[in-house]
Amino acid sequence: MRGKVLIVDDYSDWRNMLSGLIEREGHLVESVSNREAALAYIDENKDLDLVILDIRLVETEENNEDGMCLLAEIRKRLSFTRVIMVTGYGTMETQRKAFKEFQAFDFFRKAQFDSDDFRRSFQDAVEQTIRDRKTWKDKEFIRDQKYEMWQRDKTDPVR
Amino acid sequence: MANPSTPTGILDPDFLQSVVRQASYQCRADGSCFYLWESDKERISLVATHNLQHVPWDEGLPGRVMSSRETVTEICPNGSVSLAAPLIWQDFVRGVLVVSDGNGKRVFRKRDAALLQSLADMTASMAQQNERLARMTTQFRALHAIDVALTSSLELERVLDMILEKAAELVGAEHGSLRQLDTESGKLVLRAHYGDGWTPEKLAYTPRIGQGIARWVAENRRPYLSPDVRDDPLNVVLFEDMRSSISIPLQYGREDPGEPDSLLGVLLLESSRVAAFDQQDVELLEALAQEAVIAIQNASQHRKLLSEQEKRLAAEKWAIMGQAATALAHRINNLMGIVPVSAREALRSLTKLEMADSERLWIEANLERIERNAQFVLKLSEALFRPFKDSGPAARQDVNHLLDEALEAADLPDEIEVSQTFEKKLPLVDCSLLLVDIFLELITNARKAMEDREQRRLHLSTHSDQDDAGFWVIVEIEDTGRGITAEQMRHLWNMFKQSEDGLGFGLWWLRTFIERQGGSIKCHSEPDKGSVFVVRLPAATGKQSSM
Repeated sequence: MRGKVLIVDDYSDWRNMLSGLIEREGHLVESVSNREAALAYIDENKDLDLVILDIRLVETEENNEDGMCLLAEIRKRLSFTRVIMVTGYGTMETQRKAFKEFQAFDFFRKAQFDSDDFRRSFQDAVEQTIRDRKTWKDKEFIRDQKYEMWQRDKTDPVR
Repeated sequence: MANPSTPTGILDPDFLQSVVRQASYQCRADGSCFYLWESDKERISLVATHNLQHVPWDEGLPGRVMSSRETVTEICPNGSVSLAAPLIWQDFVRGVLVVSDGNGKRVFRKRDAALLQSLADMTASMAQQNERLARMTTQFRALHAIDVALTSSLELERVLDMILEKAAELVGAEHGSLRQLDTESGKLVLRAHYGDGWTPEKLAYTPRIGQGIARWVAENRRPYLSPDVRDDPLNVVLFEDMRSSISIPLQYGREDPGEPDSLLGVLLLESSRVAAFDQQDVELLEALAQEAVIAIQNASQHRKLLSEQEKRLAAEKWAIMGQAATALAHRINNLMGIVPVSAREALRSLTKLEMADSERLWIEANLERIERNAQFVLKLSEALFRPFKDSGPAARQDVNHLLDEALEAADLPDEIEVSQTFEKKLPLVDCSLLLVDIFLELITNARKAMEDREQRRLHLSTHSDQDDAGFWVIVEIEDTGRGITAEQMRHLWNMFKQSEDGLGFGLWWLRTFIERQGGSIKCHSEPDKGSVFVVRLPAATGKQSSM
């Protein structure tokens, strides 16, 4: 199953490594380094399946949680897209918040990054998104069908 | 003071001269003179005369008046007649006023005697008033000097020493002590001492309830004067050669023994002389006590301020270091974190390639080394930055409860016998929840130390304490493990102390974290017997108690 994945990370090594890792599994990958580029991409690609997001995108600012804002934004705009959080220095608090408030799909720490776990995780995420989207489309289709049938029944009453 | 002070210095010579002149005129005598008692010379001296050079009279007369304490009329063998009146004040004959007439037939009548006595009395009352004024001036000067000295330092120990020293100087005491009432234990703790011969045993002595003069003063909030301590059942002998003592309370108001916190301490001074102190000294020391109380309060306030300031500075320092540490940790994790991942990915790809086995093994070994060492660096960085990690905001924590939680998380084997003595109404502490991790680490350490031991007992206890800096919560974690040798103890808290299974950061970060909370951690250990770790944490202000 071929998915569409966006990577948002301000470290180019991580961007390149992660995109290589995902591309090699046959997915279509785009990577950006900041929030603005990410939002621009999201607006143009409504069929995005997965976002890999670094929580702390800019180091210098105090209490920077740009990644967290971006997560909230994605949740608002794209209802199917899964988000996997990656962080360089995460606390339990950010992890809890990512899961509880913004329904992140998974959470990885760069200091203890297991690439096999990560592979499994993004495969699952892409699959789930595609499946959900299909289910929804099916439902829509059935609803349309039912509507048509109902319309037909109305105009063409039972003899 | 056994001897009355001399009035010579306090009566103006011109005044004395006018008194003798008046005496001559009023009694219509040829001449007159005035004698005053000089205590330092222990004799009477002539201080004023009027027209006496032509009158022959008996100079032994004043001495006789001194002992008879009455008005005396005498006819001399050489034909002169004298009338002498004693100068009595405070029940002491302090001088003699004499009028003499060369006419041997002259008779001094009752009226003359009364006149002369009234002149003597008037002089006595004048001297008395002058003396009071002079004493007040001296006291005022002395107290002012003390006031200046006391306010010159804000260091509490120095102030207490100075109060005692000045008090001893003021009343001429040889030994002295300043004790403070400890509100928690009710003990009179020695804070300053004066004089020689203070042995460690004497320094360690603390009067028990109902024992000693200082104790009596603390309980009654009144001065105490003991002219001869050998006859005083209250006295506790600390120095054999002391004969008299004086003791006063140091307190805010004067008459509020009902208020529990009004007593700051007790000043006790001793002398080897019998009855070395009197009511005047009590008054003097009471005045000094008022200055002392202000100085003590200033110094205490100053100390509190300093410690608050220190705490705030430490907190600021930690905040800045925390910020820097977080940024650095983030950076290290990003830069280093990618190394093992990349090595693993390369290893993974390697399996898909064709090459000689020796070459493959060489590449694999190299990649494995890269991965392993990078992992180690990451673990080190994690351990190093752990104390800085923001683990949620500080909140009021019940230490008893946290200990229970840590004990549960430690999941100790049944062979370890666990006992607890928790203070019921333990004050809360302001701390992040990371405190549970601290206790967990200490309990886990204890478990490890007892692994190969026959007796395995773990005892947890909590209690509260109070000192000048405020209230403290104290946690003790005691095990019957293999203990820590003196050599190990020296490096116990070092950052890179290597243990068999850890990175050598355990106790270092533990101590760093506790100190960051304004507390401290100590370890006492006896090899082969066990160890006890004592954690001291500042109690939250506003003494809220846990249930």
